[in-house]
Amino acid sequence: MVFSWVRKGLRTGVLTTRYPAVHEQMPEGFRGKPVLDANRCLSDRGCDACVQVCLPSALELKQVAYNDDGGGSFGEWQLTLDYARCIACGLCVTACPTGALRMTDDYELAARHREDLRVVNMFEVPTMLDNLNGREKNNGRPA
Amino acid sequence: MEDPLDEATREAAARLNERVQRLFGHSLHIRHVDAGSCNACESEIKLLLNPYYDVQRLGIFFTTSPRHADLLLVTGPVTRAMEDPLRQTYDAMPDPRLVVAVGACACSGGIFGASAFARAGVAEVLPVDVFIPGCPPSPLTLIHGLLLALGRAEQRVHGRVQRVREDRLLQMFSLGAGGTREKERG
Amino acid sequence: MIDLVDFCARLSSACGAEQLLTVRLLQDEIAVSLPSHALLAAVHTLRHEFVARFVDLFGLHQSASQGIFHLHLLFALDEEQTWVHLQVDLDKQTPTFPSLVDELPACGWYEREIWEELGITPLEHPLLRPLRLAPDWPQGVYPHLQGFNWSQEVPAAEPHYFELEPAPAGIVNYPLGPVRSGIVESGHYTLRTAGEEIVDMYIQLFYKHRGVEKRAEGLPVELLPLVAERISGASAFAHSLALCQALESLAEVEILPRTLYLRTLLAELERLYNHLGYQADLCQATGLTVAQAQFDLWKERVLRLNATISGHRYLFGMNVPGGVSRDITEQGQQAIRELTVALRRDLETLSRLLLASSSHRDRLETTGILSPQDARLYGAVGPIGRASGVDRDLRRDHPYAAYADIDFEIPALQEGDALARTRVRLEETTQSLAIIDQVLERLPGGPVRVTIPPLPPGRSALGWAESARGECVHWILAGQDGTLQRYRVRPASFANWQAFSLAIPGHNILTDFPVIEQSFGLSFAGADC
Repeated sequence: MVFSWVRKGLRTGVLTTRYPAVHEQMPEGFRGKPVLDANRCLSDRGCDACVQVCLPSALELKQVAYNDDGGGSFGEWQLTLDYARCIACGLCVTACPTGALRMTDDYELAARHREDLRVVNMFEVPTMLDNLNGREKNNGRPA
Repeated sequence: MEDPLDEATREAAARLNERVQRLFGHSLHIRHVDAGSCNACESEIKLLLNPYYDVQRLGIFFTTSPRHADLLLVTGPVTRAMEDPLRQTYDAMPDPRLVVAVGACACSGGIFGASAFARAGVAEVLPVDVFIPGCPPSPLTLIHGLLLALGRAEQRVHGRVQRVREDRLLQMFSLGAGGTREKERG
Repeated sequence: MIDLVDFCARLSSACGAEQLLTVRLLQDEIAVSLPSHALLAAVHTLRHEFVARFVDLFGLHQSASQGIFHLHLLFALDEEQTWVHLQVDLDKQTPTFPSLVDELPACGWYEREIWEELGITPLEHPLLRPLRLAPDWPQGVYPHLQGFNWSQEVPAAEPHYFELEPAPAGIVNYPLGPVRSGIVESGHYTLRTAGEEIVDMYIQLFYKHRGVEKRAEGLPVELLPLVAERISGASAFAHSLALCQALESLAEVEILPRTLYLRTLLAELERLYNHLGYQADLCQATGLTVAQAQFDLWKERVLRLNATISGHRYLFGMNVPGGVSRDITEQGQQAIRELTVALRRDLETLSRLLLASSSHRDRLETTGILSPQDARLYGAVGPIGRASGVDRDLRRDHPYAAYADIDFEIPALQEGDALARTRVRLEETTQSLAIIDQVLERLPGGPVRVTIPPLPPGRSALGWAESARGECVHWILAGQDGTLQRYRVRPASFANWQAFSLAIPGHNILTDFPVIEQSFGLSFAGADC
């Protein structure tokens, strides 16, 4: 019986991947990580479609005031994509009205520092700050 | 977590870390702890030992005793009940030791963290050396992350602050050079 | 189909004709409201006269109606393809009900859960102590009371641990876990051994309790499947299917034919990789390493196929309320066909070799016997139940998706040992391949998704699916704002864990334990959720 298993094993041959010596390609459509093309993004103009559908709050939208003490009336919009929170569900890609978000099949996602997983898009468009309640938008998750 | 070390000590620690990574580079023993995952991450980690991925060819092994382990691989957001067992497992590991957070839950709490029931990831409990995102991270993602922890692979994601200029409006009217001016953070 | 008038009459008379009893028929569900003092009689009648099978017991708090507590019991009338759902109004000030544990041993865990999460007391429960909540959870904080927010901070209290009574002379307590050997989920067992023989076992689970039911409350409907998928990742499709079906039932939406067939196909793919991985894990426990590698290879191939057709190795993101999120192309169907042809051929060889390998088979035969009586009493479901004579399967008994149109067998055995559990799953693997073949042959055309309207407030619905580990039953109650007010999940593993401790004592030695554990193949995440 042992011999039968050995024969079965040998007949199966070598299937081992040569990664990392050789880069492996994921199948088409594989959900790896989403990427934002900030040029197409309208989050500084009132769009928060992606933030609304992001359950782990990987996408967060907030206004950053020009004055550090928060007393000023001007600031910039900031859209953060945090890959440490992202579950690659793809709902943001579907929700985005301009196609600014797209899913890539990138799978080499690891990082040494938490900050390395955050991509912050600052929209250099001075805007009037909304009242305090409107300033931060995430999907209800404590910051 | 507060850093009690001074500059000189930190530098020495960094050099030691480098040496440690060279030491581990040849053979690594991993102790896995499930701190409240949904079990998809466990399934992917187990598959590392199947003939397709065969991490043992890279000198990476799994061990049952934390006292024999070099690296603690943690899945799950760290539920209330697993916080203490997780700490005890880490405490039982001899130095030098690494901690790797596997999956969105372990990296940040994922869809579950920071609640009445669980923490927002392993970093709230232990010092994490490598974060491996994904839900779940595929075996190739895990291999890349483990090799990164060993200093045998390059990190490919980099946090940055991108400044998006208004002259993309100009782009629309084909006036001047538009586009993003990226300001990479160090 | 059951005669509703007859049912009402018999149930009423069993509880005493003067009792107030309202009965509504919703799709496949008979909903019965009754007062708390009629509960025992009703349960007794259901079990003995109607041969109903206990499925779930849970509580609900409605502060909108001035703090009313409801007790819900769910039974299955498998022969009639119907569910019976009892709802009992409890006293506002001191919500209690008579414990059903004597009548229904399977209720034990459910009653402890309702006590710790809502403060509803089951009177004369033999061992009332916390179940899911962590040892440092403070007394008097009830997470399922309306108004308790999933994300609120609950400060740590002095931890309280359950102490086993000391072992008698000659018996050793052998604690394992929650951090256990291997790449396994966290959970604690205490084995009691007399020499080599295991005389008893105590299980301590719920280290992985993440509050899934609370997480779903108040979420936009389109995000709910993301939560359901992560109850137990290896049953992601089954759980999200049960949830989506509940939502569709609630919104009274008709699902498109192509959706039904695709859902069947994907559910069977999930069953396939689970059963193949199960055989690999069992071979690891018995040390049959080549066999383990062979089955692991097949699991990997199925996961890669999943990634090709759905973008995700575990089929996350496929079920959406109203259908499936993407179609399976001709190319995808061809890839599925190729895999099933190759797997069917190889499975014949692998099964034959496996069952003929005495080093493997000897460790399974007569090991970890779960008797048919125990399996029935403690509510064992899925392949574990079917290996011990509980011949029930939602795909046949309460058909959903396209299962009513497909020909397939449900294997069932009586021996209840580890070998029976292996053989049932091997046969189910073959049956899954047959189901996939038929689905691909008959796949209707058309779109794969409809939009569902906003959820009608105050309405509730059941959704169910047979995962690789057994029946998963979900219940949802829509709140006033179109989100869920209450989400109840009864995964298969929650039911099966109670049966597990009964399979351990009885001529099993210490080294049998890993084999028995792997032969059950249960999910800690599912049970703990």
